[in-house]
Amino acid sequence: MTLSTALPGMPDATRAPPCGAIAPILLVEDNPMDADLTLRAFAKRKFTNPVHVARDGEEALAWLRRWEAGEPTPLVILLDLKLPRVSGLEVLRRIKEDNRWCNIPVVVLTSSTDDLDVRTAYRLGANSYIVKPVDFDKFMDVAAQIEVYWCALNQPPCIDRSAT
Amino acid sequence: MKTRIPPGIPRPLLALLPPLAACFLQWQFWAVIRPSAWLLFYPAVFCSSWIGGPFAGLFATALSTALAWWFFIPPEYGFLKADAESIVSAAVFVGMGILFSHGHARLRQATQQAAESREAAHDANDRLQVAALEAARRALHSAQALPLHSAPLDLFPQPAVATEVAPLTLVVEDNPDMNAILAEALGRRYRVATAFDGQEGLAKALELRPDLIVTDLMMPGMNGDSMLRQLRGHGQLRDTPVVVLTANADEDLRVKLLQEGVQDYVHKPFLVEELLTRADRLLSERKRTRDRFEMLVRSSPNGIVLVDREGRIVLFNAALEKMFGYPRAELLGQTVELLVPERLRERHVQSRREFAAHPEIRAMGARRDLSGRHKDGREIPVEIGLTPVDTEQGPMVLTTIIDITQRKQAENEIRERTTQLEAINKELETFTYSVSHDLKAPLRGIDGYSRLLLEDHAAQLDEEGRKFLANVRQGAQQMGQLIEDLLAYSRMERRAMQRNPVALADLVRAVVGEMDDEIRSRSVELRLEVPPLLAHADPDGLLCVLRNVLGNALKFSRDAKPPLVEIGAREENDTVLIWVKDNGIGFDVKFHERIFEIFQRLQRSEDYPGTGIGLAIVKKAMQRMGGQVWAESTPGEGATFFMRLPGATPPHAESANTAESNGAPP
Repeated sequence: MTLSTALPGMPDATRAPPCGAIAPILLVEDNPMDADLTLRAFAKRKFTNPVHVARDGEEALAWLRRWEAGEPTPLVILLDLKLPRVSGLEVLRRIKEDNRWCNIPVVVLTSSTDDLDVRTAYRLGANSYIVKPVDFDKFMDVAAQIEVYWCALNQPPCIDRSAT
Repeated sequence: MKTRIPPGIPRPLLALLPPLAACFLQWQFWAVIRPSAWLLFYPAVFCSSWIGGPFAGLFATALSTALAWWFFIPPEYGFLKADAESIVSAAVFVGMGILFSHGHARLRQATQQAAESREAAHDANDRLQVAALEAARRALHSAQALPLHSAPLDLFPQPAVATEVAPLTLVVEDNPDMNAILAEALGRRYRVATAFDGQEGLAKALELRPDLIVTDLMMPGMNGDSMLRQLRGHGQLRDTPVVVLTANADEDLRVKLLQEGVQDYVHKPFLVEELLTRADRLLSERKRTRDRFEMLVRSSPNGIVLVDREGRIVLFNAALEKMFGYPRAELLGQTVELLVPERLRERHVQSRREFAAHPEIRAMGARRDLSGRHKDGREIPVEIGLTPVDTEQGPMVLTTIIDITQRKQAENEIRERTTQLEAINKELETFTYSVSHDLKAPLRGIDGYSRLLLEDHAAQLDEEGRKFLANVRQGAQQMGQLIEDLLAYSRMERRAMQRNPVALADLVRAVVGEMDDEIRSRSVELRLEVPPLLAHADPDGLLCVLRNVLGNALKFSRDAKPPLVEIGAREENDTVLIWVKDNGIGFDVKFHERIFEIFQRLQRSEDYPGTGIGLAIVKKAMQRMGGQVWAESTPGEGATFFMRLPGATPPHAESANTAESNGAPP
């Protein structure tokens, strides 16, 4: 039973946003193995939305400029916290402080269980905080649940590029 | 016999009265008294001569004779025709009358002479004394040719450091010659002040505060003993030794004065040596006491300074000199503000005045940081204690000063070290955090790719290959669990523990709920006997503890048929006791300590999986919550783990108490 069609009455995973273009997912992850595994987990669940990967905080922030330029904003951003150069929390802050992108859901996906990280993430406006399990089976479950929830179930926000 | 005549009544009248009185009385009682005509006239004449003197007595005799002859000798009311008996009795009476008068006259004379003699003796005594002293003095002078001590000089005592200044004596004596000789004798060794009567003596004593008083007793105006009584009333003079010059006759007075604290007596006439010896002894005793005090002050390792009412330094010790870097000469007579940093001087003067107004023993500025000022300008952190004292020179303040530079340094060091430790602790936290993240990532890779291999490339793998991969996965998972447990242990060590009243029953139910699947799948019989008790604990910490202990109970009773787990709690005094009992494999109590150590396992990991950290976490958590954990077991018959926590009062009861104490209805 593939989860993407488990919910009755739902269209399949490739959801077209109101704006029309196929909405991607942005994965901000520095570890290549973790990134690869995440992509494979999504693939195994037959997830077909494109997944963009930013390898560090700076690349993630570069995406902000691309959205300014008109590229479609993601349905959800999966954000690791421990990133080289610009940290995950900093990226989170920049996204949530910007009136144009603050409505994009950000799911912190990290191995850190530190109380301080959790608190800071939520304070900065994270929509959710998920701890990456070591066990791959569980990891695949998590990936599937994320995908179902945020990409199929969740109503994506409307992005107003002119907001200040 | 005191012949005191009430003033205003002339003698002749007195001579009259007794005979008349006798006559009257005799007339009244003549019926009883007859025929003794002279009966009451005898005592009358006696009285008259006693009161009025010889002439009054003679007159009274004459009068009495006349009265008696007229009124009482037969024939009454006539002078003539008396018989021989009557004449004889009359003659006897007259004779007696004359005798009484004469007798009294002589008595009077004798008394007067006695008084005169005593006065003369006193006078002679004094003169003898003077002569004796004079003689002794001349003898001494011719023997030693000592210079005479001149009149007492600067009598106001200089501020003393050690008593290098001679003691001051006060001589109170009305006889000028005696006074001069005493002054001179004492003046050889001591400073002397003189007074010539009690009033002057009192005034000078109060003004000069002498170390010794030598006084006569019999003086005009205020005499010696009332002067002394008044002196003793003044605080500073209460302990001044006194030598009293007394004549032999004043026995009762001597005893009385002894009671009033006169140290010594010298009988007149006395040898000057005797007086000097006694004076020496008293003064040296006094000096010894003072020396002892000074020795205490001197030898104290803390700075001691005695400050007078104007803030001048009167006395101090070597420790103070060293502490502030001033040589002795530069401290004497200076105001104590010399030792106070400039910026604080004004306030210090103010504080001194306030203290003088309300003196009490206290530590100065208990919560403030006090500083003194060294001669070279730097500030010294100090602690100061103040004691008001009553001295001969007036009220002063005895100040103890302790240099706390070292203590402050130690405090600073501690503070620095604490900051360092806190920094290290922070580093450790960061380290643990990084470790957890960085260790877990490769594990994810190992596990993930092994899984993918198994899933996607199963065809290329044989049985053995698949088994290898399974082992790889298992290894990775174990390592993951280990890391989790280590992190949990380290967190238990470091994080702040809350101390809340926690509802035990709720926590137990929560933990049981978490493990519900396992409980059901293993068909464990679970018995809960947790009354609604409250304990003081950190909720997360206690959850972790219960999770671990219950997890163990389930794990090790797995093979029992059926597995039985019991969780209970009860109140014991001010604590709460919780227990988790299982009917599993148990353990040998000789391993009781080991099982709570980190990485210690009693079972093989393939039989009973686990990282060997669980109970170490439990123990650490209980410790930090102020509780204890221990276990009892018999191998093969299960184990019971006990946990004790401080109890808590229910919050509604507490608020009820405060409500009551606030006056609100509960």
